[in-house]
Order: sequence, then structure tokens, then C-alpha cells
Amino acid sequence: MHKLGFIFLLKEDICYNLETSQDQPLGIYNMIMKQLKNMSNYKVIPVYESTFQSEQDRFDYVDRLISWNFMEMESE
Amino acid sequence: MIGSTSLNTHKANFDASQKKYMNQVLDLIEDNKFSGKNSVSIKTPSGDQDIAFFDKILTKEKKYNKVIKIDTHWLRSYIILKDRQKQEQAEYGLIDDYQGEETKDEVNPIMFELEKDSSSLLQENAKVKKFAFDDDEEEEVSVVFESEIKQKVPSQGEQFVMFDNDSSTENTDEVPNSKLKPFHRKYGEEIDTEEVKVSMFRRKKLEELGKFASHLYLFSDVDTSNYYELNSESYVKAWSILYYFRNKSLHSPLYDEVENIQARNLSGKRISHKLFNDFYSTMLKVSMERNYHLTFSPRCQNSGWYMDMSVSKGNN
Repeated sequence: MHKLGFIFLLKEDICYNLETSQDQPLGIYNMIMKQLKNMSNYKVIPVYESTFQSEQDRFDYVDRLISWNFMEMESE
Repeated sequence: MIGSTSLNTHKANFDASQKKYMNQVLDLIEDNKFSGKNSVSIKTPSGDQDIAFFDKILTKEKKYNKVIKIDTHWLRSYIILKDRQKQEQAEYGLIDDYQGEETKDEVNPIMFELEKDSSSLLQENAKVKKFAFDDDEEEEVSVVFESEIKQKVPSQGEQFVMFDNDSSTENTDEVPNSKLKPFHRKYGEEIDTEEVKVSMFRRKKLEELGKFASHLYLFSDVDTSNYYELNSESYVKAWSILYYFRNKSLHSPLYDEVENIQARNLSGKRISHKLFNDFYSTMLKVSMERNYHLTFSPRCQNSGWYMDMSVSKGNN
């Protein structure tokens, strides 16, 4: 895996999981994410609309997200 | 919600009667007894129940709301390149004789039609209309078709042959009319070479696009920039049911449609959604600054699903 794949999930495609107290992709998106994680050569990262909207410095958020995931990939 | 866990747990908790009912439904779906619009009633413990089935719409039934426009510049360049190719082939001895004049004759009528002023065309149309409705004004008509009559109609004494069949004119001694009549004109319009060429170009373009792109271009809701919820889409629901219960991911006819809906959704999101545009622009900025390689809507080769974008380091 050398590539990062991003999926931008809108509010209608997200649900809140009470057990884990986290946002989670809903319905078919959950299945797509699972299949991509298991089968594809990409490291798939979901980007939730609500979290991206709440960020004040979006450039910094995206920069950190990419660099942190690349670092994690290299360490593996 | 069409979650994997939820459906599986539901199936495990089914009663014997419910399982029987589900199996009945699945058998009916597999036998292709549904046409996509009709509903079939099935006996259940609670009573009769109607079930609608979502199948792939046939191409005959689909509405084509997109008309491909002809790019005149592309057409000109195509003809010129074709001519040049023939010329080069003749130079290298691939073709025996290069017939440049014939190709010019092919080109000229189209170019003439395209470069005509709209005013002159309107005038001609008006005259033709007059000819069609007023029988008295024959002088104007003779002016309109004068050039054509000189070319097509032979001199007096010879027979005017419209069709290739000689039998129609062999046994007749009548002198043909020197003026073209409206039905002659109509016949000429029906086999207009321009229309034939346009259809040929359209077909060629569609062939070049490939299966997937032509599917996107032709089928319904292509021009719209709306974003549809995949979870509420009927095709997606039907396909996911088949996937969970019968593991029909690639062999299902619905899979193609679901994939296309996802691809359309991507383009719709890019056009209509503001926040997604913002995300895309920030991704571009970051990749420019950090020297990342960004691709929009890449496709996973193993699973076949589309992603919004992907990032890789350098040129990898």
C-alpha cells in the first residue's frame, strides 16, 4: 500500500454509533468501506462532513491527516 | 438502514414461516419473473402481500434526454486529416492512385452547408414553403432550383431518370418535365448525405467512448448535477439484498447500475456540493505544497468501487 484513498461522507451517509460513541458510515457506505479496506491497495480514510465543517484551519487539518497516515504506513 | 450486521442478525432471528417467505421471494427474484414495474402478490402468514422488484431497465425503455452536438471544427479537422492520410499513403505506395478531387467533392457539400449564412437559408426555406403551398408562383421556384435543374436534368429529348431502374423509363415515350417537383425535392432531402454522416460520426464517437462512458452519456439522469442518497436508491437496495443473501456481487445485472449511480453521484457531488468543493481545493493546495500526486475519482481494481480522491507521494 502506497496510496491513500479518501471518501468524503456527507451527513446523510453517517450515523452515530452509541456503543463506540463515534460517527460511522451508514448502510452501503459501510459495506463499501469494508470491501475497500479488505481488498484494495489503498489505505482508505473516511472524511466526515461534520468534522471537516467544524475545523477552523482546514488546510492544517488536511495536511495533518495526510502526513500522519503516510507516517503510519511507513512505520508498518 | 442496509447494514451488513443488521441484516444478518435479522436473518438469524427469523421464524420458520418468515424464512420460508424470504426463500420464496428470493426464488421469485432468481427466476426473473419480475419485469421491474409489476408487483407480485405472495401468500404470507398475515395475508397476501405485494412485492415490487427492481430490475435493470432495458435500453428500449430508457429515455434519452441528451443530444450530442456536432463540433464543426472537429469535423473539418477530421476530414482534412483523413485526406492527408490518404495522400501520404499514396506517396508511400500503399494506395494505387490518390483521388484528391473525389475527396474534395465529399468535403465541399458539408462545408458549404455549414458555412452558409442563416439569412440565405431562411430565404430559401421561405421560397420552398411558397412553392409547396402556392401553385401560382412558379417563376420564383424556377429561380430557386435553376442551378440544380441545369446539373441534374439532361437536355431536351433525353429522358430524365430519377431512379436506377431502367424498366420504369424504357417503355415510355413521354418527354420528362424540365422542372423539379416538390416530391422530387423531398426525395432528395430524405437521403441527405449530411444526416447519414452525422449518424456515422455519432456512432463512431460512442464506440470511442467505450462501454462505461457511453452508458453514462446515454442513460437517464446524466445531465443533472443532483446528489442521490445511495441508501434510499431502489437499485442499490435490491442489489445489496442479493449480495447479502446470495453473494451475487459481480454476476448480478444490478451491479452495473449501482456502480454507475455511484459514479454519477461523484460527479454530482463535485459540481453541486460546496463543502466537498472546499475539501477538494484544500487537498489540491496541500498536494501542491507537499509534492503529492492527487487523482480525482480513482477506482479500486479489485473491488470495483470508486473513491473520491487518492493521494500518493511523488510521481508514484
